[in-house]
Amino acid sequence: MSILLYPLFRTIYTSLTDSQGLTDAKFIGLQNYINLFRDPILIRTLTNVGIWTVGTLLLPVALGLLLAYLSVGLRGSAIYRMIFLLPYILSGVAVASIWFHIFRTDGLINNFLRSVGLESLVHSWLLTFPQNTIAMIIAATWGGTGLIVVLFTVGLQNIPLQTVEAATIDGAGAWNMFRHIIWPQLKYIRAVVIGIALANSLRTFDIVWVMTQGGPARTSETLGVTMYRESFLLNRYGYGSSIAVLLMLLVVGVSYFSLRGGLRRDSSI
Amino acid sequence: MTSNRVLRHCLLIIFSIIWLSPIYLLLVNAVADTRTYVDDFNWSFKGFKLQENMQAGWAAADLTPGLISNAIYGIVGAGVAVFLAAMAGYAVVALNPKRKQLWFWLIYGVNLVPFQMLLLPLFNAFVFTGLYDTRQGLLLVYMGIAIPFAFFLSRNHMLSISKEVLEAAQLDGASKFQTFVKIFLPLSSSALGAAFLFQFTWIWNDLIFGLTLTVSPEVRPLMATLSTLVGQYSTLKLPVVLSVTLIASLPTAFLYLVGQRLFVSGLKATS
Repeated sequence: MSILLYPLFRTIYTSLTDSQGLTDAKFIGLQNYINLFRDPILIRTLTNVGIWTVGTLLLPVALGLLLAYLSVGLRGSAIYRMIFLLPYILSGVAVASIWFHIFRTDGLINNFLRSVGLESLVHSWLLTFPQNTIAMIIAATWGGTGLIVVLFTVGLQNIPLQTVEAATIDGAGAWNMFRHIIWPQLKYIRAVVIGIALANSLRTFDIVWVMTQGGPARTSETLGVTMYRESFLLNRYGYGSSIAVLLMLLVVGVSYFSLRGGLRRDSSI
Repeated sequence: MTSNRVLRHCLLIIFSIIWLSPIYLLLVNAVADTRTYVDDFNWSFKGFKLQENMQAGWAAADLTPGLISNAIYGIVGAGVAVFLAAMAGYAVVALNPKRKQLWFWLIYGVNLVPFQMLLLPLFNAFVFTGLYDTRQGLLLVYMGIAIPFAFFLSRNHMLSISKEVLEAAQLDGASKFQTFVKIFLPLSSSALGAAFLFQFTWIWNDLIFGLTLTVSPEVRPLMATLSTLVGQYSTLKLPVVLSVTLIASLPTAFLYLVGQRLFVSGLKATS
């Protein structure tokens, strides 16, 4: 435990100093945070974090629920789940390197567009904002949806069959069945899934680091990448720590609200 | 009803094809013949030269030490972490400590902390204690981080073991440790197996701790070495880079095929 708790408090303290690693760090109070909020890059980074958050809710979570709902109870559903889970066992480095070659300027997509005569659609996907962030969200969706399918499958399998049968006898259509029987009974697992997915997307590092290194000109940086760059490439430990603290506040805040939202619905039904 | 099933199968097959095509791309380009390969990452089959490509990759960066390190980190790290997590789960569920909730959140809460927060202090502490760039040091970090989620899985599973089982064991005179080893461990084997698979995969695929806490090739985990190769696709031929990426993913792929039932059954008892 202490191996994890000590660093936590140490980071909070370091974020209040001007530490550069070599010389003694001087206590400078909230100066790092003031600098952080004056940094024009922060707006861009936070915009990216926002796109990542929305994208994660729209793509892996919604897609994962859809695929789990489609496959549950079907013959061969285990095979489908295996296929969707395959990218999960690949490392972030492997996922990112495959998608890098799909999206890069002379990569698969652009070559395909040229070969069918759609030259006008050829685009430097990874070199312009916000297409680079969106491209990386697609890569992350491919890598991360499988786990969400499994989690939702578990949630769906735990729904008592009687409730579904009763609704069938009452003549509920597919949409009504989903809306009024399935969806409310998924509330617990939904909170867990959204919590995991958001926490993962907020701290995204591997995919960005391999696909764009946050570039060009830092347009695709996320807080995780900014922190790594400031601390380990520029040796601005104090400033890097303040970014880490901001990141933690975001993750804890989002986790708290997604879990509390799940529990509140719990008590109202 | 039947037409409904056909429609669902059709949709799932479409998504399966989408999901498999990047894997196909990886495979077909990783085995392509580098002599005739012009820089085109595409669908066509261009020879089967996996072994030659691997050798070229190994010549650029010897990945053998990384593979060995990763095996140690993955097996020992995940194994010890799952065992400790099972003990913690048992303690919270069966031994009735005061402030159950507090212990749960204290251990599980660590899961919510972004790893980036831990990097700098770990880096400094490691330099200070001489753990920097050692296998023991990195192993310690992996273990510590793997415990919370394994704890979450094992605790939830142990909650489903009925109180009567615990009471019966106590009546028969089993000590607390015996009850843990002989009853709770075997009964939660599927959840613990799933926890091991998840944490092994996570450790195997870790990039950020490997990048920051190690430098020498014997200690560096695989992904940190690999990430430096991936960027060199213009100097090294692309199939070479991809073949190495492919090899690096085989161990987790194998484990997952062997234990794929656990992914679902281990989580099922959980929610």
